[in-house]
Amino acid sequence: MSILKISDLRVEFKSGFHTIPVLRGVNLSVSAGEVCALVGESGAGKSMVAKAILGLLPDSARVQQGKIWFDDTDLLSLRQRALSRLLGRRISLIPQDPMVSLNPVRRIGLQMCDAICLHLKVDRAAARQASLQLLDEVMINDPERVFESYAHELSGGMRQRVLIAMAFSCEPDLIIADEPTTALDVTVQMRVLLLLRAMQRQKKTAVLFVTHDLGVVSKISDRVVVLYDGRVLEDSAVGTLFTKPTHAYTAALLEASPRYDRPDKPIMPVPKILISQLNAETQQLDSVAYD
Amino acid sequence: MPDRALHYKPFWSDAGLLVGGAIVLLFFLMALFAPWLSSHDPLEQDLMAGLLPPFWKDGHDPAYLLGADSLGRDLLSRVIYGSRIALIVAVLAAGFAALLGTVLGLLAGYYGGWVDTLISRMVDIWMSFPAVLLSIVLVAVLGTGLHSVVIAIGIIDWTRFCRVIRAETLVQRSQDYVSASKTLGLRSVTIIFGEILPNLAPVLLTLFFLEMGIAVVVEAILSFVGLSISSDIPTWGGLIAEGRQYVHEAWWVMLLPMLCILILVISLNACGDGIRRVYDPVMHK
Repeated sequence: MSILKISDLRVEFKSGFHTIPVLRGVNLSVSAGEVCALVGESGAGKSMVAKAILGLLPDSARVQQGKIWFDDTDLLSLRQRALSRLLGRRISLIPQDPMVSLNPVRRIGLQMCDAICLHLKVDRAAARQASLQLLDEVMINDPERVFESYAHELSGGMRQRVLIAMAFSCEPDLIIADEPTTALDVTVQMRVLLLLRAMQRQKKTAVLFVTHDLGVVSKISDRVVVLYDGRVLEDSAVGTLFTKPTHAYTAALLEASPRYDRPDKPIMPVPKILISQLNAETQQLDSVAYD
Repeated sequence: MPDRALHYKPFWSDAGLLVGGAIVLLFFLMALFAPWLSSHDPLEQDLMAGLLPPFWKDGHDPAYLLGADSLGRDLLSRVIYGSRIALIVAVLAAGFAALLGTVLGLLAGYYGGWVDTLISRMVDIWMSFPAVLLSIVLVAVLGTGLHSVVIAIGIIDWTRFCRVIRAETLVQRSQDYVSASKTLGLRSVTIIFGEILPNLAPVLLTLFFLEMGIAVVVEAILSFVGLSISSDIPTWGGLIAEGRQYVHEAWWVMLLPMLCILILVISLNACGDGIRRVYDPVMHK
C-alpha cells in the first residue's frame, strides 16, 4: 500500500512573462516502510518534488496540475493550517544542510521539544524525556549535554543526528530526506546513512530520499526513481537498477559514477547524443503541453 | 559557511559600550537615589536665594552648590529630580515604540504580500510627517501627563523599529531553520515570535538604546514648550525653558540641564552603537 502517491505533478516557475516548467508530469509512489530514492543531476527537479510535498515551494513557483496523495488526503488542496497539522506529526523533513537548519539562538533541546509538545500533546517534562531518548537512539553519547547545547557547539555530523532525531520524534509515516548527507564530509556520511537506514527499518517509516549520489542510493534505498529535467525516466527496484537499468540515461549515469569495489572501472561521461535526444523529447513534451 | 551567533565578543571589549553604559548606569542610579543625593526638596522655594550663582562665582551660598533659580529652588536638586522623568519617559516610550514597531515589522517581513504593502506604506506616510510637530499635536490632543508623552513618542517613532525589523525578518525568513520549523508543523505565530524574534535580539537592543536617546530629546522639547508633565514636577526641558528667561543675568541655570541631556543622549547612542559592534556577527565575520 502506498503512503505517498504523486500523480502527474507539473510545477512551473513564473519569470516575467515566461513560464519555465520544472516538473513535467512526475509520477511516483512510496510504499509504507519503504525507502524510495529520487535521483537526478542538478536542476532535475528533485528538491522541487520534496518542496511541493512539504508546501515549501517558493512564491514564484506554481503547481499547474497534479495531485500529491498522502494516505487519502491531497496535500496540494490543504490549507496551511491543515498541512501544519500533518507536518512534523505524520510527514517530516531531514534538511540538506545541518549547519543552517537549526535555530542558532535556541538550545537544541527546546527545539526538539517544540514539535513533541505540539503534536503529541505532552508536557515539557515528558517531551524532555522523549528528546533525551531520541538523542540516545541516534547514537549521541551524552544526550544531556547536547540537549542543553546551542547548534554552534556541535559538529556537522552531530547536528545532522539531532535533525534525524527531530524528524523521527513524532513517529511519522513518511520522512522526506533532502540530500541529508551532501553537506557532511565523506567519513561522517556513511555513518549517518547507516543510522538513518537502521532507524527507518526499526520504526518502519517510509523515506523519500532525494540525492544525486548513486553510491548512497545503493546503500540505503529499496527503490529508485530517476529524474531528468522534471520527468521520470526510470522507476525500478534498487537491484535491477544497478544490474539491468531500463533507460539508456540510467545506464549512462552508472557508467559515469565511480565504484569503490571496482577502482579500475573507467568513468565515462554521459554521451552528448543521449543528452540532446532527451532535450528534444523534453521540448516536444513542452510544445504539446503549452500549445 | 561561518557560524553566526558564534563569535560574540565580550561586551567589555568595546570602549564605547563600556563608557556609555557606565554613564547611563550613573544616570539611572541618580534617578533612583534622587531623594538621598539632593540637598533640597526640588520644589522648596526660598525667595531670598533667588538666582544665586554656582560655587565658582562670587556671592555663592554653599547650601546651593550650583545656585538657585529665580524662585530660589536648588538647581542641583532640580536637575537630579529631572533625570527621573527623562529616564522614565526614555524607557517607557522606547518600549512602547519597540513593541508597536517590532510586532508590525515582524508581520510585514514574515507574511509579505498585502500585509507588507499596507504596513510599509503606513511607515512611509508616517515618516513624511515632521516628527516634533506631530508629537506636539498629539500631546495637545491627548492632554499633558506622563502617559500622553509616552504614547505620543511611541506613536511617532514605531516606524524606526518597524523598518529595521521588517528588513531583518526578511533575511531570517529565508534561512533554512525557518523552513525547517515549518516542516515541524509549527504555527506561523510560533515561528515569528519563538524562532525569528530571538534572532533579532541584538538589533532590537541597539535600536532600543538609540530610541531612548531620541525619547529623551523629544521629552525635553515637549517640556520646553510646556506640553509634557505638569509644571510642578522638574524636567530638564522645563528647566531650560525657565533658564531661558534669565539667560542674560544667570546663564548657568540653562547650562546644567543642557549638559545632562547632551551627555545622556551621547552615552545612550554610544551604548546602541557598541551593542551593534559587539553582538552583530555580520560586522566581524
